[in-house]
Amino acid sequence: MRTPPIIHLEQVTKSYDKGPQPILALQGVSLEIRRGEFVAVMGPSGCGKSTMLHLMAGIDRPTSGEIGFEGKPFSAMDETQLTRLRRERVGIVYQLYNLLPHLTLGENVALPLLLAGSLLRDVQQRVAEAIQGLDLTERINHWPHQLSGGEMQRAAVARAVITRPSLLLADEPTGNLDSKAGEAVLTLLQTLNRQEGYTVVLATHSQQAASYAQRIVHLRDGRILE
Amino acid sequence: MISRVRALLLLLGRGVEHSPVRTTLTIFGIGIGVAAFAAIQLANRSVLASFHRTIDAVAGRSALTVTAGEVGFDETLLLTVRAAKGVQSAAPLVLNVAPVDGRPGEVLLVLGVDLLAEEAFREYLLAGQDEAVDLKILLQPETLFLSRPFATTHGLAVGDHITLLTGSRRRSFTIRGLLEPRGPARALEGHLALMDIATAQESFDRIGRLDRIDLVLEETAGIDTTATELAQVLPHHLTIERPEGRNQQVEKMLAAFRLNLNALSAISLVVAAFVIYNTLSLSVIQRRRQIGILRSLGVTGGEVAALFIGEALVLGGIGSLMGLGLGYLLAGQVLNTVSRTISHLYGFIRVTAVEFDPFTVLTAFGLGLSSSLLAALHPSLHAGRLTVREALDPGLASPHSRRPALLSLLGLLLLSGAYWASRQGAVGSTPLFGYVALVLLVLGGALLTPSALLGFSWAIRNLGQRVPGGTGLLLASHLSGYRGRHAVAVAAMMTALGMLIGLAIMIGSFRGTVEVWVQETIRADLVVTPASRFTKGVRAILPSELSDRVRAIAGIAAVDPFTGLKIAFRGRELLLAAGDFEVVAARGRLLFLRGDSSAILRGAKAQEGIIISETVALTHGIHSGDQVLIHTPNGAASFPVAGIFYDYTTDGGKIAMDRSLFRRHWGEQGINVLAVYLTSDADPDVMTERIKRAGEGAAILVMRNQDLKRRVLEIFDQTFAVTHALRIIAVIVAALGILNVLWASVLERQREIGILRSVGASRGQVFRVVLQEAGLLGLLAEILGVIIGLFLALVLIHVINKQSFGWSILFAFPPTILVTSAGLVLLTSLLAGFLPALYASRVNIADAVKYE
Ligand SMILES: Nc1ncnc2c1ncn2[C@@H]1O[C@H](COP(=O)(O)OP(=O)(O)O)[C@@H](O)[C@H]1O
Ligand SMILES: [Mg+2]
Repeated sequence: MRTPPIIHLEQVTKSYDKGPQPILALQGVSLEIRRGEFVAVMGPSGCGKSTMLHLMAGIDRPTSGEIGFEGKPFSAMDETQLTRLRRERVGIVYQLYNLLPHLTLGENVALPLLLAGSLLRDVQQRVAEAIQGLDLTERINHWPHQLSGGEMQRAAVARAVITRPSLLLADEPTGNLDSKAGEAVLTLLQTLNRQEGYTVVLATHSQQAASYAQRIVHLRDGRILE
Repeated sequence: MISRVRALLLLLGRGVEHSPVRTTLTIFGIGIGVAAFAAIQLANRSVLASFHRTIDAVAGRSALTVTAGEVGFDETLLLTVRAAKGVQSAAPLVLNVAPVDGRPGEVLLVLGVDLLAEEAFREYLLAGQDEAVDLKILLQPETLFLSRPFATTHGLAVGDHITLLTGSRRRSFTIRGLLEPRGPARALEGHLALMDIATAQESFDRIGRLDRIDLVLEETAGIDTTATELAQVLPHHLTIERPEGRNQQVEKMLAAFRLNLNALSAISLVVAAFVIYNTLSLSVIQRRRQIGILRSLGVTGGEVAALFIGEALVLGGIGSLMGLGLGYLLAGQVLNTVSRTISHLYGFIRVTAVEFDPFTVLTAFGLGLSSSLLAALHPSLHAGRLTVREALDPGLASPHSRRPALLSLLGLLLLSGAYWASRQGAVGSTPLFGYVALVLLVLGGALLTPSALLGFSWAIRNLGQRVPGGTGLLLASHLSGYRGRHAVAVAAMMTALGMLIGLAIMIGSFRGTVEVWVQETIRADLVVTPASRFTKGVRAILPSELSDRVRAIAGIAAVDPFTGLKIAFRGRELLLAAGDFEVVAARGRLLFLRGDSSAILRGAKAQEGIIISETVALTHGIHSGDQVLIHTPNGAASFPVAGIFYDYTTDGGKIAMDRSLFRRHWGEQGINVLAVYLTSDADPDVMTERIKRAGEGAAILVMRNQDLKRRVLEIFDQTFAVTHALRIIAVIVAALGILNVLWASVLERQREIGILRSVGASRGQVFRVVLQEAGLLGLLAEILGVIIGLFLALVLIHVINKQSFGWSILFAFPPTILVTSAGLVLLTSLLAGFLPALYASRVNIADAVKYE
């Protein structure tokens, strides 16, 4: 049985015109990701992975083509609606510096809820639950510069899912971690996918990391290899 | 080596290229500081130069001058002087300042000269002639020579008539020649008329009197020995001095006034230094990566530090140059206010153009450059100390590395120093320690800002937890996280605001005090003065019969004739005043430090004593009951001091005595002002008319009580008009500080903003956080500024003004200042925060989160 796609890309092209000659980061990419899938977008550095994830999160717009979230096209959404989408339906984890340096780990994790209008004291419980089992409970009042890279990334993942979004995007989340810390993060993503039913899209250049996913999409020079 | 230098220069260029806004702001900050400094200094110098030029021009070739304040002296003394050993020739002078009738505000310095004696002293050149003037033409009655520039300006030619107010009379003179602006004709910027001494004596009611004798000495005679010689043969109330002595007196007279202006200009520089410090710290933070790369390529820490210092010098140089240009333009404006104030307070002066003074220009430039250097020192050394690892890994930029506790301790130390300095006495008559206290206060306050920010952000964190939206938390985190940099902006704003508030409180208190004083002491219903009276420096006398005539008018209860004379007292000039103490005791009032006005005045009259103003008491350490020696034209006399009264005029103090006592020692000197008291049923308008009729067409003014009071307050307000410039500086600084800090922090926080937006912050939320940050910085600066301002005001009132002028000012806190300054600051902060906030809310998320 085919579940409806949670996100789909249709002939998406993205070019950057700022430099001396335009750079085509994505060229006619079409892709469907269904609810509950764990997809790895794999390819070497510069092939367009980040660009693709940014487009999926609605933090950048394609040059041509269409992207839709649960059937609804991004082109029909304004900035406010995209902000709502990010706040409620999409969680993002980047390669580095996901945490705001002047908030504690706990505050960082709580941030999406606070931005949505909750009070810190009302969400303490939820934050505590979210980092349970992530080996972060003791670190809840620490500042980011006091944390290890693995701890920071796990906290970033916890923050990305605190609003229980439909889609979790992770852009090279292990790129700066040693293999042990990296594995912990990848296992966490896998658990979220398998046990909590999150749809996960992981961008990575590493075969090893991609192997955690159910499906691998190969990207080269802005095109999907079939 | 060469390539390393090139790499360094490239980095320098990049910095400017990458943050054009901030670079511009820095240059502007320095420019404004230097401009304010240069403008005030140039105006000051121009005024002083004009005074000196007048004095020097009139002094001509004389080596010594003999003067006696405004009393003047008997012309027979000329013979004594000529007979003295060492004197080759002596030229008598009668000097008067006369308003030009029908041309309000125009004044001429009228020189009455002895034609036979002049040649050796001064050279005059008539327009249209090559040889020196034949002064004999002046012997015709009612004749004068006028300086050509003045005549040209007013469309006057040889043969025309000009009417002068000589005391309370109008007199018409025929212009017989025009003087080229050379020699004495340069005095008062060309506002000069030359008369025969007899004509001058007659016109100005000075028959038989001289104001000055100029001396040329025999070649072998020493100046000092001749001066000693003369002092022995001349009466004691005469002053024998070199012409430079007069210049020194002018400098002394203006010193207090100029000190206030100097303080103002120094503050603008301090504030500029804050802006530079701020910008450079940011520029170091922003270029950490570049620094790291350079360091890893083998560039030494010293070279990195030198690079940033170099950048500061370049920016400081450009800013200072710009500031000089701007300052030159501004100086014209300042000059107007300054010369008007001086004309009111100290004597007529006419300064038309700002003079280019290389010394001031160099000083301003040097100060701009050195404050840039000073401000750059800490951030540059910090840049030099960064290790490669620290510089390359932004994660290592520990956000809590500053030590607020240590800074606070230092701040408290400086504040105690300020307290100590404020308890010290004056040095000479300069409140040197008062100024030290001001500086320590500002610096101490600045060092406390990081702690204040920390406390502030703590409060906001707690408050923010009660307000939904998460922005409170973000705000608090920014305030504490970036407090090192915020502290600099807040400190700069606090300084500017503190000065503004301190001055406002001081001026407000002063005005309040003067208002009470005016209300209490100006009791006469009408005041009669010569029309020329309100031009300072004009010795104007009322018609001699007027006093008796006015007294005889029905409806007039009492008349108090007032005479004021400038005399030398213990090496300084002050005003000797005489009035009818009985009338003042019965109807008027003076505010005494202690005791009842009527009792003291009657007591003074009975014991043939004097009363002195607070200023005189403080400057010379005189107390009630002391005996005071004064040199009168009839020799030295000793007077008991019956009381000390408050006085807020700037004549360098007053000594007052009853008329009868005055007349015994100084003779009949004419009456300057008549204070008139009416019977209760008399109508002031009718009385004014009758008094004018009694004056028989003399140029007199009759002012009503409330007109005079208003006039006094008007002059007061004008005196402080200069300080309005500070208000503008404060606003600009506040705006620059906030704009600079927020702009930089928005640039630096791009990634944070990107993350925020990624996790669901809306544009509006980002916009609000930045704008609220601006508002909060402004608010904190306001709170600290009010506290610092309060203490600054206390120092200004109780130390600076007390020590330099001897005025007692009653401290009064005007609550409106809180509202107006807070309104001003918030508005400025929000305006300054608007652009950075807009920029932040429009940040491209994808670009911002990219890790390179
Ligand atoms: N803002 C941008 N401006 C210009 N070129 C860009 C920009 N962002 C990415 N690119 C270019 O687009 C291509 C794809 O980049 P990216 O999506 O970051 O690749 P990846 O994440 O797979 O390494 C690269 O060649 C990169 O240089
Ligand atoms: Mg990438």
